[in-house]
Amino acid sequence: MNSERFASVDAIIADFAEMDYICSRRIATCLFVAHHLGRPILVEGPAGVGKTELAKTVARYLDQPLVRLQCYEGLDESKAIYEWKYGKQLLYIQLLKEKLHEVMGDATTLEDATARLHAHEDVFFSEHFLEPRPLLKALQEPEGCVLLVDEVDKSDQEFEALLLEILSDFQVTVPEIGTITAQRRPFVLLTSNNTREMSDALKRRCLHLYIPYPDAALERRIVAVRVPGIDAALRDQLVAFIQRIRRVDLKKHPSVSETVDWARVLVLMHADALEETLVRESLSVFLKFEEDIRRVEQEMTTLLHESRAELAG
Amino acid sequence: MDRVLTDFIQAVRGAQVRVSVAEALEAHEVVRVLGYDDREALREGLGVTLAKTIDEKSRFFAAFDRYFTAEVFADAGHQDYLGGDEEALASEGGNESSTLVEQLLRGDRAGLMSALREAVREVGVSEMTLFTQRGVVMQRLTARMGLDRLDQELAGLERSGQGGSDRARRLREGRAYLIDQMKTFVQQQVALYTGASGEALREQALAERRLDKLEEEDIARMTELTQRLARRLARQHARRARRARRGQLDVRRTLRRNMGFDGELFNIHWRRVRIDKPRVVVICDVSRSVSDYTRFLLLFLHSLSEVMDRIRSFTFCADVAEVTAIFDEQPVGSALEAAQAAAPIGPTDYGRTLAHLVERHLDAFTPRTTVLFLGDARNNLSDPRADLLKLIAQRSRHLIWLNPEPFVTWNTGDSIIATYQPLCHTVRECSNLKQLEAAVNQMLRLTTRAA
Repeated sequence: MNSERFASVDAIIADFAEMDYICSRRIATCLFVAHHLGRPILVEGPAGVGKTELAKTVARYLDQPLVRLQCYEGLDESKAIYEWKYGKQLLYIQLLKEKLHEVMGDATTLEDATARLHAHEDVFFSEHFLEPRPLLKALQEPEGCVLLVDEVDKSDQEFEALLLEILSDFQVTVPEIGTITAQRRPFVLLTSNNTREMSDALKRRCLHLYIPYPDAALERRIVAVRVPGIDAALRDQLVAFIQRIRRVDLKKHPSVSETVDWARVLVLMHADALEETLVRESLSVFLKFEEDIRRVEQEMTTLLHESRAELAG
Repeated sequence: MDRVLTDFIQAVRGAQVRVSVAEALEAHEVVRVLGYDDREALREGLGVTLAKTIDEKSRFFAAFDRYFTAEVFADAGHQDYLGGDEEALASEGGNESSTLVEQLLRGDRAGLMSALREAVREVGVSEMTLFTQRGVVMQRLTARMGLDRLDQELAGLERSGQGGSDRARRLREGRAYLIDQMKTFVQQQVALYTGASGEALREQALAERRLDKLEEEDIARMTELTQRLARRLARQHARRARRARRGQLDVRRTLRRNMGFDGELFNIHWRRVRIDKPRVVVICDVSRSVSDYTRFLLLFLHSLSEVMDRIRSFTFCADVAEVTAIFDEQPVGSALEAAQAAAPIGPTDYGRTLAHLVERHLDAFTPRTTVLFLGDARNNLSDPRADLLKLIAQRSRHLIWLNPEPFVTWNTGDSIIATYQPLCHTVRECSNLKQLEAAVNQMLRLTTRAA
């Protein structure tokens, strides 16, 4: 089935559009190359341009489960790769106490008892007692999966090192058991908001895709697909206004998802044109800082005027 | 391996995009998958493979466009004499004409182009590092292209009185055209391969230039260099802070916690080293005697305060003013002016500055603070108040003094650095970016050492 997928760059664009994800040629080419080379993709870009959405869409496209690992400061291997089920180990030891007595029963010396235990000790460190976390789970999926390592820039530098083995060889090493290799290579995507530079070692193993804010034409198409009920003229005005606002020096610029939210709100309010009062009332949908709102309110008339002029020109 | 791609990767490296061997191999894979036909797809595909930061991407795409559009012998203006009644002309010369002459007379653009590419490769244009090597390269290139044979033939024609013949005229025109096209091509190639290494050399030279001896055109580049430096320092320092955080097994707590499990150690407790967040206080002289330096010192400070949390900044001249908020809130351009303007103007007075620091901001100096003092210690003969500096030094972990003047002029005229020197932990000369980097590096090392 998967052989028909990723047939060509144009096919990817068309198929993704059908699933309501409008991707640029750059994104499609990157997916194409990643699939054929079996490489992970490191996706960078400002928040809310559809990085996580891309991973979800790829999962739907491949008809495979999405395994997601959300990164944060202090994330370590016991939360990301695997952990021993301590409780289960403890419980089993209790339950098997009698059995242990049997095994140990006629041991006379300490050496003898230790030797007998040695013959059995690996029982408690086998895969039955292994709690797979997202990364290991992704390798164990028999049908393959899409692995999303979200906001990898939030994790610590040391955590990157843990990722390297998975990214280049699709395997993890558990000291007590050995190396676990992927049943089927997952399609791996890592996203980063660029709060810090990722290490060269990580970048070397990945394709690097930068998704910027979309241009007006692309954003219009995205809004049209995501909010089908919106009037075309209103949509164009709205996108022009958002594009204009992104050039104002703000703490946080409105992202694509916020454009879509705003479009939904305007549809709910039965708006048919971008009136100044209407914009004032709904500013908080796409501006998340008091300062930014104040700033845009002050320059509202000019901004609206300029965005209309741009649309007309 | 295909030559076009190998050469292209060389060019990409020349444009200061770091390409590892693994990535170069991967690029070959990409070409295998995508092919050369769809140029846009190839551009994007190689872009995601070779360029791994946003800056690198823009440089990569520029290099791609330059490399794959570097075509000569294509302009229509020369159509009239390249080509034409080739049969007659080619046969005239008989057997002795060289390939080059034939190609020129026949108007074989593709042939000329591939000959030129071949020659360029043999001469090794891609290994050039300096644009000054252009002359030498042109010489070798003309020899390689077989221009001497053409010249011989021209000379022969003239000797035999055929200098005015159609063939001779065409050869002369063709020669001029060829040289012209070769120059263009070499220029393109040079831009491709040397752009970056030349840039690197210039940057190195800038870093060692004295800050008050900068040309106007250097300032923009210097600004960028300064910011990059600050970012790099902050990044290195962040790594150190993280390393210091790693703990060891806390045996006492682990035992205590697991008493409920009959002494079995199920919950392990790690000892956490307290993270020592750096506290830095920077006091910067903005008086006229150091005004050439302050621009960069302030710029550097601003870049640092963007990446470090706990910096308190002061500027002073006749008196001191805190500019922490200015640095935090304003963009570079206005912040520098505002910070410079914040300090009361007048003859520099280190004594008064120190007095006011102690009076109003003594709480800023704690045993965990590193103090960075930037100034030439030219006190206009007023009271140095060394006792107050001593107080600050005693209260702080470290006091580093950076003097922008060259060492030889210290303690001449009204400079009182000798009075302050024994009170500081370190006194350094800091007149160019390199020294500034070394000083700040030392400061960061001190501030992040685990407590």
